[in-house]
Amino acid sequence: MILDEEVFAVILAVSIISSALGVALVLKPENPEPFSALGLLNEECKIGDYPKIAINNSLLRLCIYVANYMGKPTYYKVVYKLAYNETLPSKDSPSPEPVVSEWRLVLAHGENKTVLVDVVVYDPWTRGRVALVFELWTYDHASSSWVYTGVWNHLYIDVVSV
Amino acid sequence: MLVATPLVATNPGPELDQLDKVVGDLVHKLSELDAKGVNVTPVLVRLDEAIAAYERGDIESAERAVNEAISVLSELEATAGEVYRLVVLSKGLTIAGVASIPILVYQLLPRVYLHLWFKTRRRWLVRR
Repeated sequence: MILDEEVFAVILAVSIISSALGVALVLKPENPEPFSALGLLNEECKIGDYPKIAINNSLLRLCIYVANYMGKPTYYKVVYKLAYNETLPSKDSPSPEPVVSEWRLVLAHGENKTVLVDVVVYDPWTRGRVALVFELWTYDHASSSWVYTGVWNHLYIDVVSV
Repeated sequence: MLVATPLVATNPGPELDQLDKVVGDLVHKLSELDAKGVNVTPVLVRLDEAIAAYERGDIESAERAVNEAISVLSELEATAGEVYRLVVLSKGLTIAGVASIPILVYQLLPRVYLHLWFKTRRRWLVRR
C-alpha cells in the first residue's frame, strides 16, 4: 500500500473521534443550565456610580437589566421593595416588605432588556438607611401565579430629610 | 430611552390579574412553539406592546395588542408542524452527514491519495 497503514489508521481514528464529537454537539440539549439574570445599573444604565443619598419621599432614577437564558420565552416581573438588613430577600424567599412598584416584561431565550425606572425612596421606620430591593419573579403557567426566582439586587441608600 | 411606568402592586385590580393570565398563557404556548423551532418574535413584540400600553393605563391599546398577538399565534400554530418537520429533517441530515465522515475517509482517502500520488509522478521517468 502506497499510503502507510499506520498513518491511515491515525487519520481514520481522528475522523471517527471528530465525527462522534460532531454528532454529540448536534444532539446535546440546547440549554443545559437555564437561568435568569437581573442587574441594577445607574441612571446612565452603566455599572457603578450609584447614588448613596436620597431625600425622603424623592424619586431616584435607576436602570434595571433583565436577561433570559431559560431556554424558552419567559414572562418576568421585577418587584421593587424598600427593606432593611433583616428583611432582605434570600435565594429561597423574597423580602417580606410590601411591594412598592413592579415592572413586567416578556423576553425570548437569549434576549435581554434594560429598563429605565424612577423609584420612590422613603424610610418607612425612619432608621436613616434603607435597601432598595429589586426581585425577579417569573409567571408559572401551571399554577397561574408568580414565582420568585431567587434572584435579586439591592442598593443601600442613606435617606435624609430636607 | 423611555422611563418605564411602574405598576403599583399593592392594589393590582382584576385587570392586572387578567393581563397576567392572558400573557402567561400565551407565553406558555409560545414556549411550546419555540421548542419546535418556530420563530415566535412577532408575538413577543405584540405582548411587549400590550404590557407597555397597560402600564401607561391605555387598556384599549393593550387589548388590541393582545388580540393581535393571539391572531399571529394562531397563524404560527398552523405552520408549526411543517416547521418542526423541517427542523427534524435538517438535524437528521446534519447527523447523517457528520456520521458518514469516517466511512468516507475509509473509502475515499486511499483512492484520493493514490490518484494524487500518480498525478504528481506523471512525468517521472524510470531509469534502469
